[in-house]
Amino acid sequence: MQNESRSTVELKGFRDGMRLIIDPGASIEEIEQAIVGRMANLGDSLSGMTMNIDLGSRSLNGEELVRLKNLLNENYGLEVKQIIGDAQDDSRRTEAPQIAGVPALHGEERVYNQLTPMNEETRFIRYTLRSGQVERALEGNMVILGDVNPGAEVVAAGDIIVLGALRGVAHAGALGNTSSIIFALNLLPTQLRIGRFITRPPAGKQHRRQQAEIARVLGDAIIVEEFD
Amino acid sequence: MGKAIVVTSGKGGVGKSTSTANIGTALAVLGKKVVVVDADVGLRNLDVIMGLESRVVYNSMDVLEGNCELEKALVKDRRTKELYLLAASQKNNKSDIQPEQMKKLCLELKETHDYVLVDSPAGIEQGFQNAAVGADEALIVTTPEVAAVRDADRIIGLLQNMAITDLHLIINQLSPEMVKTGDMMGPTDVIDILSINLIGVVPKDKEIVISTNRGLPSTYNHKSDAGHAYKRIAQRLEGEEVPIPEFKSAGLFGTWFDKLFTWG
Repeated sequence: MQNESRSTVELKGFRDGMRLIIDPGASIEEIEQAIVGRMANLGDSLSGMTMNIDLGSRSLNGEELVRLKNLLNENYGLEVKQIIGDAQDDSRRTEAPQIAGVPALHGEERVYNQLTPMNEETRFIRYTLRSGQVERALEGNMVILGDVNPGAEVVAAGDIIVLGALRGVAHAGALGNTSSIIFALNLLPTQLRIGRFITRPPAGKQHRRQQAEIARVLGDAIIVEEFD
Repeated sequence: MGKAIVVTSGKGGVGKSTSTANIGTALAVLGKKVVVVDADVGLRNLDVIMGLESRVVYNSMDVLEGNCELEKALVKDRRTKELYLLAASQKNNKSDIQPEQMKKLCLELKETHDYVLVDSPAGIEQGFQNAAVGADEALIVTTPEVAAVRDADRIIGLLQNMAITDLHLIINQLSPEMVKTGDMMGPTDVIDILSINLIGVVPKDKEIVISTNRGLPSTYNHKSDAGHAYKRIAQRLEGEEVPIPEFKSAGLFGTWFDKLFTWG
């Protein structure tokens, strides 16, 4: 599933926001299908955010771009901010795709190759997240100096560190990075998600452990280990 | 200038109105001038619990619409000196009152009373917003149940967003026997999640059912455990240091023991 999404569309966090990186060889139908597949397990967690589309070396016509923009906007609440693409020669540049109101970036403005992708910025939350509160860090990691209570949710593109009790839902590697981890001084979550993997604590294991634990993906599942 | 305290919970049926009536009465017995305000527009029942239903002539809606003076709408409780009730309108909706109006009303009441206790409706919508908007402090009522604690947690978040940060927790309907056998959350389990000041634990008490039906707050009943617990909460609100009785928990929620809580 991961390979499939990597070959057609990929979602990555960069300093200037999220990017949807599109495989140059795919058809518009394949791209749309891949977007639907990629977004399926993210729910509405990205709603209200902006993103850039990275076309790489391919070109899409205006109509196709509008289709993509509408798909992302209407189904997932995402707003397309910029179209990024390689345009190595001037002839490509002049016919570079445009959507009204969305500026196109060209080769020299492509910056992501020089950036360390993901896990770069870290957001600090200095209070306890209560039921109904959601905090996101789609540019990187999240550190919470407090608890995450039942009914609260934390989402990060990278790692999630809870210096307190994690009792709610945490989604690390939310843009697909399955090497992300979730750490908590007291790990009692309602549900844990890393990338596309979801797990919940075994039923009946309610007793509290005063032991820091760390969750990560091993093979095809999320495992939880004591941290020492 | 007195202070306004909203009594709220998120979840319904955990004892907001009963707590408001009892704490209000207990504060008045301590010699304070108290007004209890029913903010549950459309579903009023604080007047019933206080036993003042038949004496309500005007309500807060009449005051806001200018049909009567604020002072005239206050129903005096004859059993205690200086205890008043401002009833809610039964025929209006919660959206008929605007937050600014409630804020102004609370301010006016604070000028002439030591305590303004506002009984919030259940939920997190406009009724709750109206009840909380004029408050300086909040009493969060919860029962030792997972669902009630979850809703209380949500309410605490919303109150903090409204810049109401002086929060006190009341754990209501606690059954010490069930806590001992590990079948019910104990005070530490609840505080562990909500992490706010505990101001009182009210045990489950059959007397409450009788007293709410009769419209005679348990505070008047010297045999009621819940009545005594409410009196202690009133004393703690007044700044007295009164220890909270010990409730041990074991089993389901862990093997640690509750400490003796002292508030203040």
